[in-house]
Amino acid sequence: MKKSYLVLLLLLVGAGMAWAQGGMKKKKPLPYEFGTVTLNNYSEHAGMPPAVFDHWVHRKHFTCRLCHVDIGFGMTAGSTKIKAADNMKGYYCGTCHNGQSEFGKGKLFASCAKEYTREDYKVCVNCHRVDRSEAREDAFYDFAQGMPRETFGNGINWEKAEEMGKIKLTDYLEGVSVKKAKLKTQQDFSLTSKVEGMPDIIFSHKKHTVWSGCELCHPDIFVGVKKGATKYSMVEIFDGKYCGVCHGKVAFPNTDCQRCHSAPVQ
Amino acid sequence: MTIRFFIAAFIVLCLFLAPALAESPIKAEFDAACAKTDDAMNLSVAELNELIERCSRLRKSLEKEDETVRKVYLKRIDMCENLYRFVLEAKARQQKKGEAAK
Ligand code: HEC
Ligand code: HEC
Ligand code: HEC
Ligand code: HEC
Ligand code: HEC
Ligand code: HEC
Repeated sequence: MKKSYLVLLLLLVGAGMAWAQGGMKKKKPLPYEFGTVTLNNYSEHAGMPPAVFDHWVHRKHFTCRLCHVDIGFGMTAGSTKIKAADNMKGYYCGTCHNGQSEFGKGKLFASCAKEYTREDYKVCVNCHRVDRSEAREDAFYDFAQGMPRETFGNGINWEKAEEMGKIKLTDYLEGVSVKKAKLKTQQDFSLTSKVEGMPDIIFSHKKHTVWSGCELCHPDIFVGVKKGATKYSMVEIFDGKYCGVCHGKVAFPNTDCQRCHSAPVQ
Repeated sequence: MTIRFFIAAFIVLCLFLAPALAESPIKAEFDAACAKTDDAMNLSVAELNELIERCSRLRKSLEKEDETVRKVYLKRIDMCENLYRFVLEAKARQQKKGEAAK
């Protein structure tokens, strides 16, 4: 009985933190905006609108690992400092958006160019977006309709979508990715929450390694402390550290308490 | 049906991406040094040290590459080498714990 009160209280505190986060800094993103990154280190200086990258468009085809380990995109907005020249040489966005890669019904549009016609500019604005377009919102809802639902984030349960085979993720690009031996992952373990009455933390090393690869987490995000000792506070996680590097920005957000705080993995 | 189509399209996509970057010697050396990150826990201390050494050599050889290649590969090498170092340290910690238990 007492235990459940404590849990309830913690949930309220958590909701408060979440609200304060969302309410003061920025409003909660809409489902199609969750995971959208605006890149503007150079664009506006050079007279182009900022480039916009949607995670939902890409994560239905590729693993996080492919982009963030093999292609080398950083894990905070703007940190990669992508230049038009990099894209034109076939790196970063230009790894795929090179005007040659076959995709679906045709070739994937190319990224930046030095010189361009008015006609070419129509391709530029796929990324260098002038304003938000309804077509893009519609595309999101069309896609989301066929996917398993969830309350937060994109409103899509990405993990289930993958399990159900609704999306199939590419983890390897020839000429870019390293040919790996078959994965022998770490033993799975669960972190134990230090607060009594709070359900245990679930964290699957196995699943996360398939999505992200070891080097994305170690040592940049998790330097490695003793298992079982006090580790991370929820305030830090909400602040975008540790699990919060991904959860809250691209993976399901921290408002979804139960998805992490429940029975341990065996 | 459409799913199959997309999978097929993807295989084609991968083939098309191949020629652009496949030849680079940097890539080959990077592969040799960093193909084992996901299996790092199963490497011996000697193997880890050797791979770390390879990473340092590779970093030096990047100096003569152009700016983009340098930027991309420095980041990739950092991630790979730092993971090997992390695993070395974790192994040392585990061993210490093991000895203390005896
Ligand atoms: C197609 C490539 C691609 C895929 C796949 C991808 N990302 Fe990203 N991600 C990017 C790019 C590009 C950026 C922006 C980097 C920059 O601004 O320097 C980014 C940024 C991020 C950020 C920082 C966002 C912010 O607002 O600060 C996080 C977190 C992130 N990605 C997590 C993930 C996770 C988790 C996955 C897998 C579910 C994933 N990404 C899949 C390309 C990708
Ligand atoms: C690993 C390959 C890959 C990389 C890297 C990549 N993309 Fe894409 N991108 C795709 C594919 C494939 C599609 C088509 C997805 C679809 O239609 O389902 C796409 C589609 C898009 C679209 C069109 C989405 C729409 O709403 O129609 C935009 C815009 C875009 N990418 C921007 C970017 C930007 C900006 C970057 C770099 C920061 C980038 N992409 C990096 C593969 C990639
Ligand atoms: C696949 C997505 C994509 C497309 C399509 C694209 N760009 Fe870019 N472009 C980017 C990204 C990402 C950046 C880096 C954004 C930033 O941080 O400012 C960028 C940056 C630029 C810059 C900034 C200057 C610099 O040196 O980096 C210019 C100019 C530019 N692009 C021109 C173009 C032109 C012209 C086109 C159309 C012919 C185009 N781009 C199409 C993704 C794209
Ligand atoms: C999504 C992030 C993530 C991924 C991916 C990941 N780990 Fe971890 N790892 C963690 C977390 C969280 C812990 C517990 C951290 C702690 O104790 O601080 C941990 C703990 C560890 C530890 C124990 C650390 C110690 O100090 O003893 C080792 C070793 C380790 N991971 C290795 C790996 C290897 C090898 C891979 C790839 C096969 C991997 N991890 C993939 C997040 C990750
Ligand atoms: C992405 C996974 C994740 C989500 C979602 C999440 N937590 Fe946590 N939480 C953690 C981790 C990891 C710890 C640290 C456990 C440890 O160090 O032993 C933690 C610790 C805590 C703690 C004890 C430490 C402290 O800061 O006081 C409380 C209380 C807590 N969480 C409450 C919540 C509430 C309430 C929510 C929902 C609003 C929530 N958590 C959502 C992962 C999560
Ligand atoms: C590198 C990015 C990244 C980090 C760091 C990360 N996660 Fe995740 N996590 C993901 C992605 C991607 C998914 C897939 C679901 C989604 O995107 O919503 C996921 C799914 C999960 C799930 C549901 C799947 C399962 O394992 O049952 C849990 C629970 C979870 N994460 C907990 C955690 C906790 C706890 C931490 C911190 C110790 C953490 N994650 C750190 C990227 C990350």
